[in-house]
Amino acid sequence: MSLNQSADFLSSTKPGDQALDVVDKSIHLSLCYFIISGLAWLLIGSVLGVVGGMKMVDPSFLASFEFLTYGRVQAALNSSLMMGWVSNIAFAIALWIMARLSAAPVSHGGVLLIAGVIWNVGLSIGLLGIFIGDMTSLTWLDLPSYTSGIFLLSYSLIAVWGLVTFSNRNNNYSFVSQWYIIGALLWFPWVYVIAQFFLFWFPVRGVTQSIIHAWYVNSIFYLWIAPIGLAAAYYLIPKILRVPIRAYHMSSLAFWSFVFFSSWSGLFSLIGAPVPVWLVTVSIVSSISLLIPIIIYSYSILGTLISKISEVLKDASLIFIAFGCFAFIEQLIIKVLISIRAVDTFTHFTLIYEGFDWHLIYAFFSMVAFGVLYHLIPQLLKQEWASGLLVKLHFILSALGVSLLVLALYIGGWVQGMQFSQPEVSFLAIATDLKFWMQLKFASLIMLLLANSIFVLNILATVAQRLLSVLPIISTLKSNRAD
Amino acid sequence: MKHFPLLLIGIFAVLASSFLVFVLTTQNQLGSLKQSTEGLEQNDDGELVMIEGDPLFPAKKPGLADQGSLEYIKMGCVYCHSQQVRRAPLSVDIERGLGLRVSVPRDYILQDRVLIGNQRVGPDLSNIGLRQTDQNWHLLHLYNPQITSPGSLMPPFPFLFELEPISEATAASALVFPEGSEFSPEAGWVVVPSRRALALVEYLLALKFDYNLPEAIILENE
Repeated sequence: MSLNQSADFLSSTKPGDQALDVVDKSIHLSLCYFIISGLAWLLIGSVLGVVGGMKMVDPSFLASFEFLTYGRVQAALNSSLMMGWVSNIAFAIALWIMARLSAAPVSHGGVLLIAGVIWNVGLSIGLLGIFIGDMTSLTWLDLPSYTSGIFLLSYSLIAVWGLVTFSNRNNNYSFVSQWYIIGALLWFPWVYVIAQFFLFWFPVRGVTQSIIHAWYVNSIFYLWIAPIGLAAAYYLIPKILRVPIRAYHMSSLAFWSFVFFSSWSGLFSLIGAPVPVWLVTVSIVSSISLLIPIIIYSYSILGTLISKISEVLKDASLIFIAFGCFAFIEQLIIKVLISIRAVDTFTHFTLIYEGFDWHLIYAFFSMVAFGVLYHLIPQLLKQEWASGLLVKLHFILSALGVSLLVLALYIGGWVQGMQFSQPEVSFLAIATDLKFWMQLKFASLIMLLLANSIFVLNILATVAQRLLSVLPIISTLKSNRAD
Repeated sequence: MKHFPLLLIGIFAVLASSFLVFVLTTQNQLGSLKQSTEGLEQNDDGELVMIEGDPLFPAKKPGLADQGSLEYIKMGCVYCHSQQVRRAPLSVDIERGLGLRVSVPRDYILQDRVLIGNQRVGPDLSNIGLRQTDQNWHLLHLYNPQITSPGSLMPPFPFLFELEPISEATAASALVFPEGSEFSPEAGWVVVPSRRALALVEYLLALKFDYNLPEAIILENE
């Protein structure tokens, strides 16, 4: 797509456009459903995060409840974030952007709703399974494998609907956001089925399991979460700022280099592990090659944001998206750094890996998702935000909370890694020194819980305002009819 | 991108290539690993073969330890504990005493679920059966880590134990607390481990790479 065409795309998506109203209406209900479920899981995840954080500050906290061991809380937290919050919102973002960019209404949107219900029922069963001890103990794949069929059934419906919408598109071009969404929609089930197949249905032997697990985690992060977040950024930044993305012609190179090198870089987390060294080396090389997309993303996405920084700071949606995009580039740079063997010597087995996961899931994806919601919810409700103050508070608390969280884990992890490399420092001493960083982590998780509660509160207030503004009309209509 | 099929082919190729390299070739390279004797000998054709009659390693673990490994998974121990000894110079694991030698793929072939882990909030457990051989120590540590390791971040697992009135039957299996410990039960009562606690400890005690493999020899300390 040329720059002229991208200007065309900008003008064709003006709010209030009648064709767009048809498009939006066709998925109105399923969007609302995915957003509400996503937010519910986000709140559940935030509470689980605080419980887990507290357990690291005071190990005896809730220790007599077997269903709340630290491991189970972590597993439940991972699952409610990944399969609950991230996936539901990813479905909403993917379907909405796909329908908008294809300028095609989604037919039979009711099927999406059913699929969504199945998904969330599956996740609820899975979480209960974790609490009774059926978890797999493989991180980010923690849900009991008996739920996998439910997820696959629901997922295939959702993904097929997204792809059908694209193939029914009413224009003859595609925008970069669509590539990321199509990719993500196709990669997720593939990666998921391979992991389920080789780890649970017909388990392979030995450390091949660990390799597939590492490959799965990396793929789910960079071929599912990241593409959806990038699609949203590519779509909303030019749309709200009304300028094309800088160096748009490079985005195809960025796309292919990012998805290729990131999918090949999965084993950087197994440096030094009992696995074939050549696999790890291939991953390290791919990981460092990510510098290519990093440079392009920085120039085009961050460059566009910086060139309009005063407007970005004024817009609730963009400020979240901008925070997320910067976090994404930081996360990729950290990925490059920690995949260097010399650095890995000090970072392996440390909290840095936990911070690294939070960095992608929260500092990048969740912040971009909040940005999308700040743009989308007023359109869905046809109502402005009830409180501008709460919007600001949400941003400040989220930004501070997640920055503190990631920094505490990175710095704490680095200190921990330095101590690992000194054999004379005992494990108990290292653990004792971790307490300070665990307290910071706990404080930041409380901030995030607070931020998310504020966000939900603001949404509820906005819904209430909308209802109040609609009710008098309805009652007048009714009384008129009675007359 | 006007060519939708090209996009699809590209999307397919990206994941297919990484799947082929990371999943299939790994399975090809490691899938056929078998137990081995500690050393190898040359046969008449000059090939290296296993020494007949020598025991095979890694050895199968006792049944109770197998049950313990399920408890290890159910409790989520892997979220804080790794089970791998890394080579120098990437780590000082051996100097630190985490094991006698580095761990190699063959060490894991008999495990139903491989939990090499990626966190060391707690210490590595691949050789905990060599470092702590005392069953009572492990039971006390599970009951409340503060008894044996004050300041530890590990949560207690009191639900794996029962508080019972002292009797001949219970006294035999009861936990032996250190003299004057603030965690000991009141007089007349004892803490008895459940079968699950015993299985978990059996599993921990069996965690040790104390055998040689042709590709990983334990070097004697000079």
